[in-house]
Amino acid sequence: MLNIWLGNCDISVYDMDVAFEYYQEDGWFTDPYVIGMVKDVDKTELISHRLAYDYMGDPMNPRELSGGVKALILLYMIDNIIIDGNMMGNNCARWILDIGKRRDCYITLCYFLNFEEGIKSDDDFECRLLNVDKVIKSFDEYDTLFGKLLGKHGLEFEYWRNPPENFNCIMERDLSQLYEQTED
Amino acid sequence: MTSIELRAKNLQAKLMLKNKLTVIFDESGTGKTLITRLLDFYRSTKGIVFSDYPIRLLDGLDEIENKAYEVKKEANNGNKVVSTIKAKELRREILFIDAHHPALAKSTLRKNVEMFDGYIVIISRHFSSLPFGTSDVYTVKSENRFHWLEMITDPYKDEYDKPDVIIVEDETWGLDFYKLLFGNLGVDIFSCENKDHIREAIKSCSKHSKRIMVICNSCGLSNHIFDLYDYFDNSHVQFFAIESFEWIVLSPFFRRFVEDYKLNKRSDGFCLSDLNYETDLTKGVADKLKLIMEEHYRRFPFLQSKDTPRPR
Repeated sequence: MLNIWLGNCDISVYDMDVAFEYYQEDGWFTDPYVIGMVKDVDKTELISHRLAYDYMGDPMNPRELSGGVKALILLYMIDNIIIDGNMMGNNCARWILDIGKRRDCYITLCYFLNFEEGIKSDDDFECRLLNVDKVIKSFDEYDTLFGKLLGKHGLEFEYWRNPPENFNCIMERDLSQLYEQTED
Repeated sequence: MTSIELRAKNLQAKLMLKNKLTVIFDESGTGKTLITRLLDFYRSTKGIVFSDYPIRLLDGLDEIENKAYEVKKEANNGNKVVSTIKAKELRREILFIDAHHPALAKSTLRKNVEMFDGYIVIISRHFSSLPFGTSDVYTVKSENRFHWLEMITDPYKDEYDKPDVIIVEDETWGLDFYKLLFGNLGVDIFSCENKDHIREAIKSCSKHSKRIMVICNSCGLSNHIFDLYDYFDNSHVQFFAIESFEWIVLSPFFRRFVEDYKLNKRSDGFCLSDLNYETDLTKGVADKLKLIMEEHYRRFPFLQSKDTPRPR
């Protein structure tokens, strides 16, 4: 199930370059699902952990993949991790939904990521909105709740103070200054 | 305004920076970070990067803050010459800040950016604490190896179609103004109370398939561009932003005028086209209100029907 927290979280992974470098394994780059994701989002052909071909057919290092596709790969491959969804664009939406159907995954979001682009039919959307602890099965309902939460809490949404305890995070950040502003 | 041109072997880019602050907002994989990294790598290497100012990717957390503090410290010490030199140093840079940089979460960022006199380019999908408008937000376009910046869809128009519903950001005098302006046109007008509720209000009205117009201050949309972006291309939703509006609605003369008409129940069927500027308002207020009204009649041609004559 895709779990979404609308807001910010200290332990969400936000620097995809660092996290990808830290977690990556050679086998990721030959996984058919990953290859399909990279092809769709980055228009890049993955060959191995050291070689890929970009949209122009030029060789490149997979380290140069976009932050969005790295976030998707981490979301797909790593357990007990919260991904900062602000690093993913609208073209990642369908993959986020698809990964959510395959496994439990967690993302935080502070902007309106348009999942509508990734929906094939009315019953294709499903996520748990952690702010209200509710499973949402229509994009329309998600849109409505997003607007309500945006209005209620202001621009920076809500600070996820109690994420799951066993979730790991390799990077620290301090968002307390941000929330001092919203609490005023 | 300044421009940056990058002529690397595998990628060329031309970026026009019109304002001090530019935000690049786009889908994944469009080349935002790649362009930034190449610009930072090549810096001012002649023949590869062409720029009026040095280019740099923000590295340290407190860099802008420290530099701004140095300038302020020197100015406070009365050392105007040194502070001017340091201000010129700051002015000479184009600073790129990537989305994940912790500096974007600091509460002092806005103040430091205001003191920073160069150009700042931020790559972000969510940003609320800096002053920017829709004209500062760009996406990356590419054709083969050539990349350039293009402004996002401008939600504002020169002329607007008559809506079914008008959502006004203001809940007091601004709301009164538009109720008086559109009074007899059969348009529902309500306030969304503040800009944070705009999306919710649009969603609510969309359920009834109505043509919607959102009226807000020009800066009102800036913090919600990323949250309202999907409505910019929506043919059923129009956005109208006004500048320098607060002075008229906060003017005691306008308030008194509105209250007087409301108390005398002149608001029933009354609209601003009934207004007699010479007798109903002081000259100063009348002159400025006329300018605002002219602007509104120009933008809203549907006001110029036989039922809504221009004010006398």
